[in-house]
Amino acid sequence: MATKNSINNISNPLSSSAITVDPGASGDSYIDFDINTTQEFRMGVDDTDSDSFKLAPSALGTGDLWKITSGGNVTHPLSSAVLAQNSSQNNVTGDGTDYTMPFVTELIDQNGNFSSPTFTAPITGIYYFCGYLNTRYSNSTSTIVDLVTTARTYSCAYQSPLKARDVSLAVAGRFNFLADMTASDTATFHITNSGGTKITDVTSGTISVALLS
Amino acid sequence: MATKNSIDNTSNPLASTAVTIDPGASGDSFVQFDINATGEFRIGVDDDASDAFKISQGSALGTNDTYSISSDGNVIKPQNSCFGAYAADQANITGSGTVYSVTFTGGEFFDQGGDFASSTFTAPVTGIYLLTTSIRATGFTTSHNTYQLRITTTATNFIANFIDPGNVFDVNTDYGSQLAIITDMTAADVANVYLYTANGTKVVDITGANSYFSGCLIS
Repeated sequence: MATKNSINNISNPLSSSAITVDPGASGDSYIDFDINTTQEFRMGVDDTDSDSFKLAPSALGTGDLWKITSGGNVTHPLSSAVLAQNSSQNNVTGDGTDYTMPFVTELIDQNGNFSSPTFTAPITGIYYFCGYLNTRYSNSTSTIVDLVTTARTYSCAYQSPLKARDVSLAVAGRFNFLADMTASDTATFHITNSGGTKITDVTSGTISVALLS
Repeated sequence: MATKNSIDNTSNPLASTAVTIDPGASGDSFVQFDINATGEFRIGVDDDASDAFKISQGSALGTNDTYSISSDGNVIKPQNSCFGAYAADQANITGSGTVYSVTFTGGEFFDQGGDFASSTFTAPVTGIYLLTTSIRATGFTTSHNTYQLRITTTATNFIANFIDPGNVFDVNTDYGSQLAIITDMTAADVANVYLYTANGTKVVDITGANSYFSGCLIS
């Protein structure tokens, strides 16, 4: 049903194959999508932001969800994205202990989906995980780094720290995965050094997550 | 200045500075884009999906959605090309200089767009793609002095050289190696993963369940 200020196929007096929205000399050019007079989204050109094309929940420029600049760059300012870092922790594994990386320092948490040590998917979709962790002091015979999601475990960074190097030298583990997650699924990162004693330190590490598709 | 067929502040007969679409008490709020009476795309608010904002092919939000933004800003593209697959165990694949094309026949975690088949990803459209792989290999001997993990597209061969395996690992050591790239691909270009180890015998194996290949169209 059409309401006042609406356009529909039946009553549209404009008799054209296109629609143009133009506020005149200045101001935003936009379309509001309402349901029962409650504004849900506004889509259009933000005259006060270099004429970027945006989608926002209310006024353009407030809580923008989608932005295309006049140069064609696209951003999603509130879509899930995380960058977190780990501080140094001592004697966390080496004897088979499954250590969950805490990543306590959040540098980015767009959409607020990370709470140390857990990332929680806000929506069903495909997520990209990547990062690294640095360790030292290992007399273990194996190292495994796992991304553990609700659906499955992705393992990487298999190696033998004992044969690879002197016990005091640093070892870096890297990971990158695309993972399908259902809304509310969780993900954590783990390191397990086995076959030695619990002397392995995690000196640093970074995790990045982004909702891709 | 208003033009013919336009809506503007000055001459808008709808007495508004903007266009508002409102279905009333319930229903979708949308704009339909047709050509010759055929619904091509619909854009608007899906009242049946927590009021997500969508772009859908055809003439129904919720059917063939191509783009969806939740009310809190999370963006998904349910038909955008995106795949993730894992390997089956593969024995004696390289070590003597063989450039081995890794097969990912263990299974597909997901194949959004249906562009992954026979261990090969085929770009459905010209664009920028993220490609990642992680391989768990084992069986290195002391003579193996080269280890490469490759992602090869129609246009480019991306090679990551890893630590001299024979000097670092023994024959029983599992080694995990990863490679991620962002690359341009033309429609119908393909991408595969290769493993290369040289100067020894062909005894290097892959542990399938921990070897992955994934990718996504990102721009």
